[in-house]
Amino acid sequence: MLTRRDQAGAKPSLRSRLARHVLLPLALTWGLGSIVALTVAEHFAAEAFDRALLDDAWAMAAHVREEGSRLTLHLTPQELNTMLFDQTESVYFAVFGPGGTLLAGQAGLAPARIPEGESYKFSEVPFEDKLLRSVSLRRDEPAEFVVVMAMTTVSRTQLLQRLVAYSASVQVLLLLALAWWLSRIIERDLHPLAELQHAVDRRDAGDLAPLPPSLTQGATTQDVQRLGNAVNSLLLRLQESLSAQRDFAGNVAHELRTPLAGIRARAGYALAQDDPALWRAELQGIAQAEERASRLVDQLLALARAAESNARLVLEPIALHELVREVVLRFVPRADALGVDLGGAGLDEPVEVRGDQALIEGILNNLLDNALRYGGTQTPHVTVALHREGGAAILSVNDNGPGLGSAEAQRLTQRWTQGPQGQKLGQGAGLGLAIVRRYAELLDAQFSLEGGAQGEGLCAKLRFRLSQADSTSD
Amino acid sequence: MRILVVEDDAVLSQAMTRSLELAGHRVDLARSLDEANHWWRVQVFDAVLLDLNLPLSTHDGSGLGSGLTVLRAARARGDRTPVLILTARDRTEERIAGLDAGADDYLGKPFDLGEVEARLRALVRRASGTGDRVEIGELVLDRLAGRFFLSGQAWDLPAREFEVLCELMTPPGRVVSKRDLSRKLSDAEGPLGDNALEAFISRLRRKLAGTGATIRTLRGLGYVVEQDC
Repeated sequence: MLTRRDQAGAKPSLRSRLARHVLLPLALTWGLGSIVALTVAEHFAAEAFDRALLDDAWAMAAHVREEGSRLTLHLTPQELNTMLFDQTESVYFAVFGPGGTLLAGQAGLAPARIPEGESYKFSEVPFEDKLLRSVSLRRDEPAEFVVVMAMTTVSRTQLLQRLVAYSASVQVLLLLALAWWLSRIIERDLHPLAELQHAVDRRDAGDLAPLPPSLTQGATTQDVQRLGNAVNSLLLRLQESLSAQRDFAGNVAHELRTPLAGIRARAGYALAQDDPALWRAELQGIAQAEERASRLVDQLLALARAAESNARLVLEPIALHELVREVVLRFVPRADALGVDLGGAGLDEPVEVRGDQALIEGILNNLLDNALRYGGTQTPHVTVALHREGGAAILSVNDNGPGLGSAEAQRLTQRWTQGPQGQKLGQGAGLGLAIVRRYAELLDAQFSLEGGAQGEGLCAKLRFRLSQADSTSD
Repeated sequence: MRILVVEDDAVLSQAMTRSLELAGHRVDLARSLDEANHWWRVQVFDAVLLDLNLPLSTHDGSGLGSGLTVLRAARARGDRTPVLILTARDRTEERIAGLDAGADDYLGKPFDLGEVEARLRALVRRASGTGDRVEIGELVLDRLAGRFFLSGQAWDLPAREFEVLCELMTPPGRVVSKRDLSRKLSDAEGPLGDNALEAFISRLRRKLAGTGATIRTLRGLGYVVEQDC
């Protein structure tokens, strides 16, 4: 397995990646820009040099005269020297008369072919092991002749080299400065992230306090603020679930201790007596206490199962009227024993919903259990009703007991809350309605506790969506 | 019991109907696949006697079909009514095909009407989980004799009341919903109305007073025969 360090080593840091992504295109752009600029500069420089060379050729041609039938170059050696003088370059010339006869200058300077209709042509000519830049100028007056001027290219090469040296070195310096500045600024901008990482790294597993405000509300960028807030809300949720678990464990211990204490007390009392009839009574009490403890364990398991099955539940079409009827009939003997008039309403009409049989049974078991326990008055009756309302099936369990205030009804669907009625009776553990609420969530049904229809009792309501087939058959 | 007889032969179906009615059952007769399908869908039966070679429809010679198609359709709907196949086609493979299609029993023609009734009783015993003789308090239903006994004396009831009580005693202690009862007792004019049903129940209650058996109403759930305490 890779350690964290290995992974960190194998992957680039955000900082170097950002720097790379900024600097690489920047350097490429700079390089391309420089090449274009140098090319243009070289072109214009060459043009200027060429124009000067052409001017010299024109001046030379102006001194070619016709003497008799021959053309001659009318320049003294003095004048020629002045004309051909240049500080750095060596300048050569040649004048060719009609038929290519050399009138003056270097015979080795061969003229270039001048295209028809044009009077001059620039070209490169080899001369005495050197490559010279030359221009060939053709004149027709007084008779046809060609002047060739040529010079070495030392200064223009030097100029180009200087251009490259100055522009490139300055730009490379600028680029380096930019890279340095960018990497610093990126590091500075990413610093809060590193701080956040440190803060989370250093955290003790048990410490769920929120991050310091400099990393959340006081953060300088939106992104860090969001990240900080997200971490904080995660911490908050963890804290909530952790404290819920602590409460839960504490309550389990407490709730189990009560029936266990009862069992012990009754056993102790029975052991101290000799009367078999009394033993019997105490044994019955012990059996009841055990029953309560078992029920509690069942409910806890059910709740844990509901939490587990969160994502895996597949809802199937369920004939709700039949299922409800079956469950209610199962409760009839218990209702008879408690003297409760248990009845149904609307269970003869077929209603099909999407659901899960075990969960719906679980809901009804809990609701009926509650209604039979707490719904009691002088003439207790409990009714399980089923009817359609729009595209929904409403399943309700009504009793004519003391009922609940709406605030209390809300609170009762939390885990471990028992109404004063329940505490008075000392039954149950307050898990039932929490289980119902959870199951309803899993079934995509809405659960609510309301006052009874005639202003008395309690009405536990579940709103199921009708299954596709059922709602279209209406 | 309410029994659907699916049989196209007029002589045979008449004989069967008469004999079953004599034994205290209510019989509906279907003479084609169409009729059988229709009856089976709209009515709840305690058992179905099914012939296999049947005309597709009651009118004119529209061709023959197999009763197994009706049976398969019913089973596909989730219908668990006990089915006894009565047919001249009783080669082993055909019996297997019939049983596989969802039939509960198979009887080859020609058959004895007594055997048909015995097999029907066996099917109902199996389906309801009771014996031929059930009792509550001093009330006894003897399916073999096809009648009730009260305190050891044969107790004759009007046909409708007999049917209601029979239904409630199959098996005793079963809660029968009003809807099921009135559908079971339906006739050509449709399901039995609530008022009529309640009238039968209250008449039965009066007659049962003091016998140890009583019909209890479970509000919104139905009726159940219970031991009086």
